[in-house]
Amino acid sequence: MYNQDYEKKKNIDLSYESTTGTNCRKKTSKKLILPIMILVIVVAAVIFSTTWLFGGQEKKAEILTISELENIINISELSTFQAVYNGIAKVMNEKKSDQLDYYVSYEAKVNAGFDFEKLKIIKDEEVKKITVTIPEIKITDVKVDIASLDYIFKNNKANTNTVSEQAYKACIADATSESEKESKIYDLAKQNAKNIMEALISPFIKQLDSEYKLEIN
Amino acid sequence: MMKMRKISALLLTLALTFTCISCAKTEEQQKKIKPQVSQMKSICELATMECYYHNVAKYTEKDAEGILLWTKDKHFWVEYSGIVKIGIDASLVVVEVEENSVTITIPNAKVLGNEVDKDSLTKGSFIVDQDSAGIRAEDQTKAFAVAQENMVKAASEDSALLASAQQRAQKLLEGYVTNIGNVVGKEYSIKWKYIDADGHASTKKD
Repeated sequence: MYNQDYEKKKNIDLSYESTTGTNCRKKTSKKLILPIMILVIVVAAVIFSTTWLFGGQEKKAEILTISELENIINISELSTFQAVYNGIAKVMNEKKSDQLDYYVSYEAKVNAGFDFEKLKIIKDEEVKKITVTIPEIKITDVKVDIASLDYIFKNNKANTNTVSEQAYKACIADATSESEKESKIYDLAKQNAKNIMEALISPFIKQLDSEYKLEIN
Repeated sequence: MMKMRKISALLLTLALTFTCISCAKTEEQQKKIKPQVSQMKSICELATMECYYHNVAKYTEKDAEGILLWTKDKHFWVEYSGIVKIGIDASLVVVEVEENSVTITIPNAKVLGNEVDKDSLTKGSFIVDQDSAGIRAEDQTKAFAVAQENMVKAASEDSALLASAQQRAQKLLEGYVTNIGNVVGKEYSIKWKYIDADGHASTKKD
């Protein structure tokens, strides 16, 4: 009898202990839910903010790749600049080279430009700078308008029916040599090329709110 | 228990709000990237061509010397150089963007400025006809004024040069709109309108 009572009590105690243990675990797990949820939300917030902040930069970097920039500036027609060279050529006597036959005025167009294939673009990600280097400017074409020739004769005997042919050649030679010597043609063509590159690239840098700076040499 | 639920609900709401803001911000950034008038005006300004201009001013004055049958004309040429600025007046550029269509209204290219290089006018710049009356200092001063006037006139009448400047500005604007379209995955169609001398805009060029 005593033993039976003892066993019953023991069982009741054990079952009490077991119920108390489950309750304790339940309480512990409930206590853990809140920190876990906070942790989950914090992790989610970190992921979102990373995507938000760096995702934007990825977009910018994607747009500012060298190939994107090459596509943006790929308008080769814009590599030539026109100068006007309306000049005066001196034509000397063929037999007496120290004797002036006549002056001939002409109207000419001179094209100066650069080789688009040789244009260099460098993107420095560390200092956030895009450097565009324009190649050497060269005179590419000289066109003299034959209809524009006008004369002042010093030797009236030179005024023959073949004068315009001789004069035209002299004008082409004069326009070519004079324009090649004229540094301002090169300087202005370079400045125009710089402006064109700026017009093509800078709107993208500004509009995409990029931190990149543009340098054109 | 209730308190914990409230906190959980609050945190979840915050997380959702954060997500929505992130998405809205990305969409807003995308929407912002479209052709802008201010950028197009800057492009037009940069498209202005600084053109080296070497020219010959031709000066003729009838009966400058002598009387009756013994008169002499004054006839000489002056060679000089300068810079002419040719481009589009950016202040008149109007841009309308509607869905995938961009209408750009631009004026015709014109001479926006000029400067004669005084140093280019030397004694050697004057070519005097052997039958001409004598050339004096005042003729040279007059020649400089004529040169300046002549350079603007010659450039304003140079249709090839003006067309080249106009084409340059249009090419740059077209490139800008197309490239903006490429960035946002749109294919913009461009309509051009030209402002004539009377200030009217039409699709036909003068």
